[in-house]
Amino acid sequence: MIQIEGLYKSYWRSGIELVVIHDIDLAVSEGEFIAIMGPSGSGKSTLLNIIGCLDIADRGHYQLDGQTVDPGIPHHLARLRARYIGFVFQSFNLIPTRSALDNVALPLLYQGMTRSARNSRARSALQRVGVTDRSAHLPSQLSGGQQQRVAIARALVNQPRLLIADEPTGALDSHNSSQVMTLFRELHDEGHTLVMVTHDPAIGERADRVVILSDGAVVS
Amino acid sequence: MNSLHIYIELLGEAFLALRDNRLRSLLSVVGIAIGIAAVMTVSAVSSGGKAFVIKELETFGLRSVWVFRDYADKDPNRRVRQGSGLVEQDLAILSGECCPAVHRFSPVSLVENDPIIQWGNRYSNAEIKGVNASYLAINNDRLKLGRGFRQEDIYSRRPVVLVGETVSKDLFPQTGNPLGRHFRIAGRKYRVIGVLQYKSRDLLASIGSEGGEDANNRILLPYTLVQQINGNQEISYLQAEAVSLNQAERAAAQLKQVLERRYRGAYQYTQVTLASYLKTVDRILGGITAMGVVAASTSLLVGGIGVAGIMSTAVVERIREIGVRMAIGANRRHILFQFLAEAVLISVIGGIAGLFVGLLLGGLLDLVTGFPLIPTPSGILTGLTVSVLVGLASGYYPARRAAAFLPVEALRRE
Ligand SMILES: Nc1ncnc2c1ncn2[C@@H]1O[C@H](COP(=O)(O)OP(=O)(O)OP(=O)(O)O)[C@@H](O)[C@H]1O
Ligand SMILES: [Mg+2]
Repeated sequence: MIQIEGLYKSYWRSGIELVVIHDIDLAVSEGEFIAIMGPSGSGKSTLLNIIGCLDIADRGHYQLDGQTVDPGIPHHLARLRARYIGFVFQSFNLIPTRSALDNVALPLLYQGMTRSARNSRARSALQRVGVTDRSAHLPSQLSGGQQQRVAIARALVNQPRLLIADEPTGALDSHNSSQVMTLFRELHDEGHTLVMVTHDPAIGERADRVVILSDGAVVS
Repeated sequence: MNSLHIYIELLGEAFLALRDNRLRSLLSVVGIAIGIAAVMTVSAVSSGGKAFVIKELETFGLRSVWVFRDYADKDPNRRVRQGSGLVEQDLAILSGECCPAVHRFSPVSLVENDPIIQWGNRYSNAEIKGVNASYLAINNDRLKLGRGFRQEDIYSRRPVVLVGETVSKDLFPQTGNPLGRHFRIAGRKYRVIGVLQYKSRDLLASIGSEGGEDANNRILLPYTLVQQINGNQEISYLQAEAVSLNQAERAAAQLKQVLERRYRGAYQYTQVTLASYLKTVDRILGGITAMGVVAASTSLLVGGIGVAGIMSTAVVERIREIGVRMAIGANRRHILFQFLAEAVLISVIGGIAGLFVGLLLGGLLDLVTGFPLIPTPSGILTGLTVSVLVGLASGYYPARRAAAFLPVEALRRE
């Protein structure tokens, strides 16, 4: 599913190069659940964003589902995001002025789907994450756990093959965390490929494989 | 097809975004509306003003030209004959093929001494003009009652007259219909055969250019009778009708040339045309309009800058939303379109509101001043087109900025 070779990214700050991703090789096969761990600032989010085609590397080779990802072509990246990838963020990132249902249905708008088709797909996605009775609520009227489940429904509504989550439980209490993790586990069991950044060793244990980053390099 | 559907839906997204920011959207709509209303009103004032002026000038016949002797401009070495410089014999030459730009003409003879115009103990101070059978058509005069002059009236010097409404009221107040009645000019009796239709010259009267001449206080006689009253063969001036408005100068020049040749420079003639007045009016109104349009456009520009400012703020405020939309499948074109659509929606709504305000303002002004403001269909179309363009222009940079973000950068901003 994911084939990464020699990935390199750095930031220049006042003439000093800060290497964030240092020649990383990584392979993730279809259906795998990978947890990325490591100290703060080690480049976890950066790596995840590059995998998710939200960010671009300076060098290196990246293949997603057998297609070479060309970082120079924005609309190519956009198409890959739309077709393959669902995102879950630590801070939910729901659009605050739209209902839960509208938020979940939004990805389908960019696929050219009609409103009724979008809404019925969004409803079943909400059902999947268990927040059907709150579909007309605004994000501000939902608890953190509910917001994150709506966000997961939004990530799922496209039926993406790859789910990407950056500390999805980072803003949640332990109860909501474990609910969300159970959901991810189920999605994994259904065959989704999962790449997740986490600080929580307990969550790492539930992954198929843990990749540990330190100073932009894979240490194990 | 599929992607067209996306853009239609994005228009809806743009509309929802405007609704989410109601007050702010309204303010920028007002900015555009004021600009469009101002532009509309200015252009309506100019077209209305022209129509207003033309309506009054039409009472002289728009294609009219006048040729008369220029007393000021003489050759001091040559002995010039006394008189008006135009006599009966000239008419025969002018009637020939001398002047292809002239459609028809009438000699006009004025009475040299103020005659007494009287019926019983009632008097009139009307202006008397001797004319021929073509005069009514040339001068755009119509008859309210009766008939105009015929050729025989002119040649056989029939004592018949046409009178304006004021004359009719002054001399025959008790009877509504003066046709067939007689009155005296300088002692001789004349029969009324027609009454001229009322002519309104409010604007000209208010400017005072005509020195108080009242179009409704006129008596028209066969010019041959005026010559008889004066006791000579002279003609005061010629009033002719050009074949078309833009041939007016040429028509006058042709008449002038024939006359000057005939007298080998003994007389010089002056020409006056309404066409040249029209040009002046056009120039003045054009200047006023241009200044007005510049001023109005400035307010539209300010409105457009307002929209650009609002959109820039929106992009900064909603940068995270932009990142989210990109993450869930929007490409740059979708983002660009959505923000551009917001700007265009604002300014088109403003444009439509401005058109209505402009129409309302025009109607109100018309009611109060009687000055007609004419909003032309092309003006309305221009207003709408301009508002679309203003939206595109003011939304373009903010929208492009929104679309240019790398998703990760947009998501990182707070
Ligand atoms: N836009 C940027 N400009 C400069 N430096 C950046 C930028 N984005 C990230 N960095 C730097 O890159 C390094 C890696 O950042 P990244 O967000 O990937 O770390 P992380 O492992 O996700 O950390 P955390 O666990 O705190 O989320 C950090 O040192 C960060 O300061
Ligand atoms: Mg991080």
